[in-house]
Amino acid sequence: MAPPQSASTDFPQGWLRAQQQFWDGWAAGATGTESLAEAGPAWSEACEQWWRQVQASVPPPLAPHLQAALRHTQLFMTLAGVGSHAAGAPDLGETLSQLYADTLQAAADAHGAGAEEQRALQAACAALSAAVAQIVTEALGAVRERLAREDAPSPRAVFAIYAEEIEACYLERAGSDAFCALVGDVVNAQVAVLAAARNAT
Amino acid sequence: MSAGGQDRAAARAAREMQAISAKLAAGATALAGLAHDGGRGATAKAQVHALDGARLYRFQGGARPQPGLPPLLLVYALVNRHYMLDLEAERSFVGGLLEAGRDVYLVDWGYPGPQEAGLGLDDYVGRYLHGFVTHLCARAGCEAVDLLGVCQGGTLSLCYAALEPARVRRLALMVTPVDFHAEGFLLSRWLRYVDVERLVATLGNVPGSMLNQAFLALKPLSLSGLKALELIELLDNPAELATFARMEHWLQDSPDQAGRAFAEFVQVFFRDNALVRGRARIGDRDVDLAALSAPVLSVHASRDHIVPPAATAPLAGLLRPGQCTACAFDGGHIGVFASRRARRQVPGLVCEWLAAAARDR
Repeated sequence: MAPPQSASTDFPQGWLRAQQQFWDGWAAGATGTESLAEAGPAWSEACEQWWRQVQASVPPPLAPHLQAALRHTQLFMTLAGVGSHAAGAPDLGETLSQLYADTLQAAADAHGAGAEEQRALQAACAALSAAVAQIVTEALGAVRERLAREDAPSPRAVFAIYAEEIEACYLERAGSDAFCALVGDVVNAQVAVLAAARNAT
Repeated sequence: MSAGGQDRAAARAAREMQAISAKLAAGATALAGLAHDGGRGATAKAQVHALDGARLYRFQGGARPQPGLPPLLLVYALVNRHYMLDLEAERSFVGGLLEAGRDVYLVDWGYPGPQEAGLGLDDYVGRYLHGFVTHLCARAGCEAVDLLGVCQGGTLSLCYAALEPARVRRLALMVTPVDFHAEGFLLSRWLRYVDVERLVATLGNVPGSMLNQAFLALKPLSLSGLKALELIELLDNPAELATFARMEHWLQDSPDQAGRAFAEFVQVFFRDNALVRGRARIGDRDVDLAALSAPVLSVHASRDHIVPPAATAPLAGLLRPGQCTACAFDGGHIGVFASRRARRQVPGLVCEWLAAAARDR
């Protein structure tokens, strides 16, 4: 399916017309939620077009949220096809893991100082990411149960079910001694890297 | 899913993506006209005193203050900035207090820099807060003020009221943690596994960005993906979009924490749970809640994910029978101050309690 086109001189009306036509055409040819994944590349292109046009006028506090919003609408395309199958939801796990991206960036910014501390930090982050991935996997059973009870949920409703069930599972586990220790390990390892970097300069 | 179900799902998906496209198109226009005015609060205020980097402000433009009532001093947390209490006029907690006829003052703790890393809780409570209260009493010609503490600022206010009981006529605590080992206090659980002493020894001050990371991790999907999708719904509503932008500006405006004070707060409250155990100390002074003479109002938010209600509830048991009035607001940690419903309910409730307490004297 060809991606929708819009002329930048006719933005946003031309862009909107292109999307309306695209989704009308997609619905006419679609036979199930799995085919939503086929619309993914076209929608990604549409999101990129929109962002290129608006980004200069976006107030700084909103920019990360708008970019996240666009990413998550693209996630709809993946999740809609996942609901009735055994596949996981790795992108939501990645969203959780992304929270610790600053920590990994701090390690990268340490310019090689404290190689041992950096390895320890990467190991701590990997352990936390694995724990989060395990939570996501465990939550998928509840996700599928809820999806089975829904009558043809919209993409956003599917996403909301994923997010609610995974976060509920996360909140159950996040206070356990094991998970708290993993969080503490990441922060403590991050501090060790920063200390090593400081000592090296 | 049946073939019919698949057709319905496809039609629904197409309609939803078209609706999202329409929101994005409308947002392109709304974003271009959006004023970026976060970070200063809606109500005019004037500085009336300063101690080092801390400032005392008086809010302006309210109703004529009720006679016979002392100044009301707002004590915000060291974490984040105070203007969440005054984000915009229609949602302003401060505006509600002014409308109720209170003469409202505010402690602004400022942005601690490297030179403030050595400030401790005794500086914040014993020097700055006590200095501002003393100044206000002299200015207003009264013996004591009414104190309203918010979150961590409430914990500090509670300690102050116990250390200087003659200076506090009434004490209102908003979403204030007292039992730091309460069930469901996730932030407290995590902090107990962090080597805070090494953190402070390494960095001096604790970066605000690190605290934001922790707050976000408390509800990671609600505060990232679901929130981002809610933003799409607001894109065709410039007023709501502006509110979202102001709130985000506030959330990202997170001062660093003076290292020594942070480490002390973690040790005394998060680790030792010293208020509940009756052995809290600020500097070299014991905090004896039995010495606290003021009536206390404790307002908690029933859906607070940062300070769970279980962390506020034990206060009544630590004070004299009848000394503490507890009150619940159906909302979250921020919503109790910044929602339109809160604006209609909470400031009036607090001011009524303060005035009733005055009549009961």
